[in-house]
Amino acid sequence: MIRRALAPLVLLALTLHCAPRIGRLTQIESPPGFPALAYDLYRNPLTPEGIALGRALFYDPLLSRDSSISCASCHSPFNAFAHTDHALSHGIGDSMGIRNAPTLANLAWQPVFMWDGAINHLDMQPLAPITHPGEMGETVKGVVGKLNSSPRYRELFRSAFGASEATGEYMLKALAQFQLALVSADAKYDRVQRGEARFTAQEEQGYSLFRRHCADCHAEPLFTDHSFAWNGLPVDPDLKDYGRQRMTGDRSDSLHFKVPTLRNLAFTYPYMHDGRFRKLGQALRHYVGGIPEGMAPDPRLPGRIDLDDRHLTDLTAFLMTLNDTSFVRDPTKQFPR
Amino acid sequence: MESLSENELIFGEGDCSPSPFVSVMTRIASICLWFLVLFPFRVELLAQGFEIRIQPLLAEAPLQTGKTVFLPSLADSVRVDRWRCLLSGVTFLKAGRPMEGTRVDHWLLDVEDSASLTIPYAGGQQPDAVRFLFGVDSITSVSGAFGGPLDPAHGMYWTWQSGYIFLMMEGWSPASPGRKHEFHYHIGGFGGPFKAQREVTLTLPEDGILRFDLDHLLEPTILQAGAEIMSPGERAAAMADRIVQAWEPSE
Repeated sequence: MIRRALAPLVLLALTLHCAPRIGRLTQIESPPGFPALAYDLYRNPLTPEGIALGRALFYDPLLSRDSSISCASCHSPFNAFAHTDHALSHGIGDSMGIRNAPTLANLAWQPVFMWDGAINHLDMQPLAPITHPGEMGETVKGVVGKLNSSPRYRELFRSAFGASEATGEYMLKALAQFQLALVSADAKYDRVQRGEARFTAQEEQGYSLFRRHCADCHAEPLFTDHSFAWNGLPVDPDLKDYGRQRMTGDRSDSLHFKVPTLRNLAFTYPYMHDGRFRKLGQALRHYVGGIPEGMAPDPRLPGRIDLDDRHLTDLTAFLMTLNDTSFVRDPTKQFPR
Repeated sequence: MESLSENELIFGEGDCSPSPFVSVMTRIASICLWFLVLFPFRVELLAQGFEIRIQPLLAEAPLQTGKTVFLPSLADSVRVDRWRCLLSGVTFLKAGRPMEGTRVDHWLLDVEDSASLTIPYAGGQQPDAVRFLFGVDSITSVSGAFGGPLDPAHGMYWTWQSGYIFLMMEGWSPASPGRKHEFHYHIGGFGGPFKAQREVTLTLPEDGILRFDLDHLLEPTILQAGAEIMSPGERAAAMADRIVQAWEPSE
């Protein structure tokens, strides 16, 4: 009888051994009040191995031509994955870009990427910095070649995707998985929304000012509605960056840039698409009477926002409740050891 | 005792060879039998041996990258260094209807990789037409990273803006106003008024060779209008129309 049972058992054992490993799926915990995910996880489900590979790639300067620049060079974890203290980011050979590196928090809910919306899917975004001559200066084929000559990476790709070698597709999907895991939703604001904390009186005042004057574009809970707008900033005469118009060719898109999130402002200065405002106060004063006469920015912006210094202090206090210290200190998202 | 014949030694047979008539008839019968048995497989093999080949032509000769030729329509020399083309939804037709199991979702033609110029065909019968989308469909274009022919490592994806490059043609000609007399045509565009995708249906000739005539894309008016097309737009869309005309069955 044992012999009879043995055959199917052996068969079962063999099947289990040979069957593709069913990896553990990682869920993105959608914080309360967050909209539906913008990213289609079906095509690239999150796994611990995929995220680990993405993390390894994110911090590896191998992705640049002279191995000097990694993604983290401009998207530093301690700065909410933005580039603090740099108005414009620099790439290999100290070449200067024309835009400020934005934060990479909460990209799972973001439908378009780059300040001008040129990239329509998170997977494809790394192609831009990897191949730009002033950023990482490489080619996709070149990077994939370098990855494939590393036994360590080949093992990481095998464990993440069951792939016998690294490919452009898997490299991009791994980077996407790591970025999707960068969720920032534990600021004081979030704890207040969950009923775990309370605003101070000043923060409460600031919150109501925010809802009245800022929330049309910087909509909760992501603090951006991902739309493109001209907020009245005159064009920089040296950079001559006309924003979304470059992408669409439509003159009505001139000087339109993507509304950025207001989360983690304490870590992501300087502000605006070209980092022209080093201090938050400067950005706020731009909106309060700083827009030059005769400019006709986004219709959601009233001609003049009437706020005095006391109001601005309250508003700033509220904006500081959007800083998520646990996000910038999370060791699982930092340089892999 | 009489010594054993070779037949007996090896085959253990006595001297029982059949009469010549019987042996000939047996042979004919066995050939007929083999033919009957193998006939269906032979047809299968013939059809499976049916290849669909793409032959890019320049000045009516097979395109060779790096080779300078005289192009009469341009009245000048030209050298093409790169020719790559992305096709989607390649479907084989018989009597106007798609043949099951033969669809190729995406395919990258690259004249520098001769194996890529043969499109895999898995059907049992000879098709009489082929239909495909020149380029990549819009849904795929907004759905992130893909592998195989669509892997960005092939260089057929714009990096600074989302979208596949449907046709990449680069080269040199004194007639080009570009820097160093080079030209670079990266044709794409998946949305908006200047979509560059085009449905193409072609009758398949007996030998299964579809020719692509590059002469259509290298006329004086095109080069004079500019040596670079590097983004979606009006010129790329106009080029896409020419690309449809460039496809032809062989004669």
